[in-house]
Amino acid sequence: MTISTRDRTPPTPPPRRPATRRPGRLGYAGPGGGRWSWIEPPTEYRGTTVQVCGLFPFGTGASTPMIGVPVGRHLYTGSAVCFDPISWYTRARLINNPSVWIEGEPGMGKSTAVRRMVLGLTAQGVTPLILGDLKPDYAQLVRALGGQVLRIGPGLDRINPLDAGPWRQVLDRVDERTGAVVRAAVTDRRLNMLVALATLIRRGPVSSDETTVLAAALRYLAERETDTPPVLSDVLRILRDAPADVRAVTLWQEEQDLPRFREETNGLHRTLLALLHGPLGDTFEGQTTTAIRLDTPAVCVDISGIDDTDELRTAATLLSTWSYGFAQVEAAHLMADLGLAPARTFFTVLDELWRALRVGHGLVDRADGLTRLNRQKGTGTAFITHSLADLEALPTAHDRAKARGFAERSAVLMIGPCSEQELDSVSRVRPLSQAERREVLSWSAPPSWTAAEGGETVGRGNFLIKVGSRPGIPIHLEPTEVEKQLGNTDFRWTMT
Amino acid sequence: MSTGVRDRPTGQRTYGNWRLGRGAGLFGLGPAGTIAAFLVMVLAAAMLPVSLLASLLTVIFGVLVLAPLAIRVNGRTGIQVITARVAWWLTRARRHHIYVSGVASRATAAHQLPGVLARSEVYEVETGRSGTVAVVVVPQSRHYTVTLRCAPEGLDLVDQAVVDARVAHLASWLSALSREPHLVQAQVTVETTPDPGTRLAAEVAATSRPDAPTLARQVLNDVVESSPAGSATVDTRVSLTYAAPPGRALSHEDVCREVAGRLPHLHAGLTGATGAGITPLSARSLAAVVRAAYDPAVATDLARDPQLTPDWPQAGPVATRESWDAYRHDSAFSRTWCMVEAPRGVVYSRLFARLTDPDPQLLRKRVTMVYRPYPPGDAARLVEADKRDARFLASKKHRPSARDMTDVVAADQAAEEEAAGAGVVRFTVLVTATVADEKQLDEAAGIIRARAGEARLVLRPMYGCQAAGFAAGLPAGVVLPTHSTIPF
Repeated sequence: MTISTRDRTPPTPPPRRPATRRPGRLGYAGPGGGRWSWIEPPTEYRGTTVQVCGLFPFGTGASTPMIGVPVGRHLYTGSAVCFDPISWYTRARLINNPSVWIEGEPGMGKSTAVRRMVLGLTAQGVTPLILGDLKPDYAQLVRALGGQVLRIGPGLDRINPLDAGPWRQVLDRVDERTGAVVRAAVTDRRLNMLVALATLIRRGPVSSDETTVLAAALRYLAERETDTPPVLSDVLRILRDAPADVRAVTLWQEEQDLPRFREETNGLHRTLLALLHGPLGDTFEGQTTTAIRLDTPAVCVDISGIDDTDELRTAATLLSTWSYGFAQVEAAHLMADLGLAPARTFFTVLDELWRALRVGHGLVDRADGLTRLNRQKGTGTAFITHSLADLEALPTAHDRAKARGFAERSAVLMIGPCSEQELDSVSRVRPLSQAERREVLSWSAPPSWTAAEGGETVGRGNFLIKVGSRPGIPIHLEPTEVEKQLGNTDFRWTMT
Repeated sequence: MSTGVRDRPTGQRTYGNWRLGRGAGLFGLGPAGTIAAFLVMVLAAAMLPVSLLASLLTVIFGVLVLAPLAIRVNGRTGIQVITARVAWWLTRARRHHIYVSGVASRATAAHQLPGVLARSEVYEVETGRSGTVAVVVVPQSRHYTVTLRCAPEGLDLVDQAVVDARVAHLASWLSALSREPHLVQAQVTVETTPDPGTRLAAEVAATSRPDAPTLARQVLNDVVESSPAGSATVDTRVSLTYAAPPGRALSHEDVCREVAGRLPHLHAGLTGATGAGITPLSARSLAAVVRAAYDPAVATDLARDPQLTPDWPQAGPVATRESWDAYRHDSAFSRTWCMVEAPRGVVYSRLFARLTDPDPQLLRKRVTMVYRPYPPGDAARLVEADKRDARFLASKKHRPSARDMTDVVAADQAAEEEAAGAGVVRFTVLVTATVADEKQLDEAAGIIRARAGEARLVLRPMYGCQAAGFAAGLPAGVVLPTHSTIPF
């Protein structure tokens, strides 16, 4: 235990002033000494502690820090509220991972909120990656920011599901060990993708034996990979050729077991054929036509070219977009670690998460694998969905739990206007107080039947920002004029 | 916890049942005054056989002397009102109402704190748990003050059950305080500083890259222009003031160490009331708080760069000028109010927050709740005396009024609560509003009056005592009753 004295005695007075002396009990005497000559005891009341505590002095909460992108005004105080997952993670240290889960009914301002965060983060030098824009909500914005817009769909651009980004460039510059790790990560990502596609196309699970064979085939391809990544038909070819390296992971290693191997992988074979020549074939077979360029201010993968009702294609495209996007981010981080490229921070936006997750059994697992990053530090993630209750409809309990896991792992929940049932689902992920529920519910109800002149939908742009178990911050986000022009989601309603 | 005096049908917990902190006495006189009044009466009665005139004169003289004690104007006795006037007049005549420090001063070369705090010193003690804690020592009264900073979660969007639990934690913390040896006073200060509108712009300017796309910067500029004001900074501090244990010759260091040793357990008790995130203030933060209070113009600089904070002996104002109802200090003007009447009847726990919530029109606002717990022995005696007095008053009358009956019930309940383990605590409220310009003081007064009305408190400016009132809200351990000129 140490004691340091900051000041034991008042500073010694300058000698030329004889009037200077030690202060008296009530301060320095004399003109200009500021002596308190009248001190009055304030009127005191008394009571027992169980009653006096009712004058609760801790009722005014500490305010949120002014750190991050200004996302709106506080609904009660009207003051500006700043929030974005990256700033709150790196600078404010308020959250333990840079992710946000945004949900709310359609047309209630989800995309406006994301657009604001994208704009704000772009100004901070962060590169937003919008991986899968269905409407398109963000293509116009990204174009205006000078970013890259990829249009994926039949007759448009194509993403090779096995494209794992520029990882080959890295391999030459790292030692054996790191190389092995990188190779394993790439195979893993491809396997995840391939199994996800297989699950989608056959609308059923991929067995563990089949997964093992696919993994062996992908490893085989990766070892022989040149600068061009393999495509889906390469996997099919390997399966047909059945080289010894691939058979080694099965029970039929000998040459004479080849017919048995063929027989056993029949189902897989069929699935791959369906993938290549079925309805989705034109979307996935072949090399990536336009690569994502991470040196632009922002990237948007626009998949609005795909028919909304084609659930299968939408889900498959979303998955491959995520896979490709995250692979690019991983590669960029790896290159930065090796000093081959400047360190960059990314903000990945996964829009309409539920559209991909609800299609098939076991897809949640795959999406989880695809969107996980080894280096979380440099990447913020926004998961956007209009409903958590939708995910409750998934067939198995395992999938439901996993789907909730997406929201659970998000450090921040931004809840827009939504229904009571939806809030029930949310409270299973993060407890909401009755007061918070009332507040959010009040946003979806019209205040009265009389439509005000130029009135907006009541709760549009309102969000509850929920961090951990702390009380939520209710905000209202009003887009600026420029933003309104950029993202006129319901432009078809505008009557000119 | 037992329920309030009168429960509303809604069943929400209410609080009330506090009374003026004077001891019992007749005609509004305190215990001493009552004895004096009796002496006058006895004397007059004794003189009656001797001379009627002398007896009458005695009574008239007694009334003249005691009336200023009995008559209360805005919570002050007549004596206090008269003395305050005289003291203020003398202060003005001797030019004590002006304080100048530093090179231009004839009194002190350092920028010391004025008045009682001129002698104060700060010691830093290792707590062994959360770093060092600073203890402010006021040597003339041997008071030692430590300050904790809390980050309460507030009441917005919090369920009533949670609020009730927090309030109950505060109750048990207060009753723990009354068992704390040598604790003189605990004060909770909520200081709100509205954002002048520069913080958002500063944040955007600091984070934006010059090579960012024009569109992004344009939108951010639009946002900054359309919503200039950020949220107010809320600083909640809890200061605990201890007296030196009597009878032992302890050095300041020893007492400081003892005080710091008590901190962990009080700290833990407070967590339930405010939520996590309680930190003891270091000497530097204390000085920053005091410096920013006296000179709000430097507050933003201090917040940006803590290295600019002066040491405690230099943290005071350069110049202040006290007037009857306002206090000019360095760059701002302040007025301090004190509580005259606590809320009548019962209140809800959310009520007091109406007073502490930020006011964007004020430069800063400081609301201080001052608690002075009674030791458990005194508390038991006090509630029993209250009970007896209430019974006596009610039984004296042929038909006791409703008010008398309520008083009996209230006194009984207080005694029950005390017996069940609650402490008895005196409390008062001080409010300081700071504005940049003297002309805004009237507006500030209006705001504070409205705020007090919402919180159902009656406040009045601390006339003639503005400098001391201002300092009492700072985390420096000014215990007004200890230093008061007239103790009753």
